[in-house]
Amino acid sequence: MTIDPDFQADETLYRRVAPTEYPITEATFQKLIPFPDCSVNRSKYSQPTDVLLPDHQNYGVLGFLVGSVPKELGEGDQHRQFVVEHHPVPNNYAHSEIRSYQVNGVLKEPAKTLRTCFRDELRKKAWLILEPSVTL
Amino acid sequence: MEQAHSSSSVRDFYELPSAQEINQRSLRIQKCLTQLEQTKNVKENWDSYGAPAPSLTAIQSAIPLITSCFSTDCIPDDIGAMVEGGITVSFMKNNKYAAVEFYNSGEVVALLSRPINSDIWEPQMNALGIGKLIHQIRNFLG
Repeated sequence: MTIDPDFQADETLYRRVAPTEYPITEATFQKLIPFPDCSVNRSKYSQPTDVLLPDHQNYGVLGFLVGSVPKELGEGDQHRQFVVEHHPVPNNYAHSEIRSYQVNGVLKEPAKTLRTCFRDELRKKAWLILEPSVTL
Repeated sequence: MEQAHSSSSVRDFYELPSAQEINQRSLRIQKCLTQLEQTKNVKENWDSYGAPAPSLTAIQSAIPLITSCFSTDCIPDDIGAMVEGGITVSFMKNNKYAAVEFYNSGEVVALLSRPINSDIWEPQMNALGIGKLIHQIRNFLG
């Protein structure tokens, strides 16, 4: 499949979020956002609800802009860059991934504080596109 | 009428909460306990992207913070499994967000979210550290 590496800052990325017993609010976003590497769908080639296919119809959809993904965070051997990459898979051409790359030093596991920092940065800009419809 | 006026004055003098405030507080504590209990039932891959279930370590290490919050006016707004593996205890007030994340590995990270340069650190989780952490969260939320 042809890869389209061109992501504009205003392109939206979609990620499904699991149904929970309580409504999703801004207070719950943080726990739903992962540190890279993480899967998303890109709006250039999909609709928000496409992330629910084929069998996650009761899930919700969280959105954030490509420009909201921090470009880099941390310092020293925790200095990491973040890149959105197009990774089409069979039946989902829009599939993309947010990847993190260590900039300096020997390859090291990202610190938990760095993970929390990335997720906080994304949480601030994320919005709920579709509320999950059914409880677990 | 006179008695009501009198009891109100006593309440104001001692800064005692009203019945409505006590009721709301009880509901929030009940919600926290229910949410905490639910984290024990979360299965592997609960988010469909492969998220790990919260470990017993993560859940147990969150309990002292949560119960300490109950004796203050800083009651969590949300407790739940996080996709990173572990549980997140979240606080939201005056459009400000704070959280304490209990990772499955046993590591704990505190977050006071700001528009630029949020405060993020690994707090001490002994009795003194928990008291200090709650104080920091309360001050931050305002």
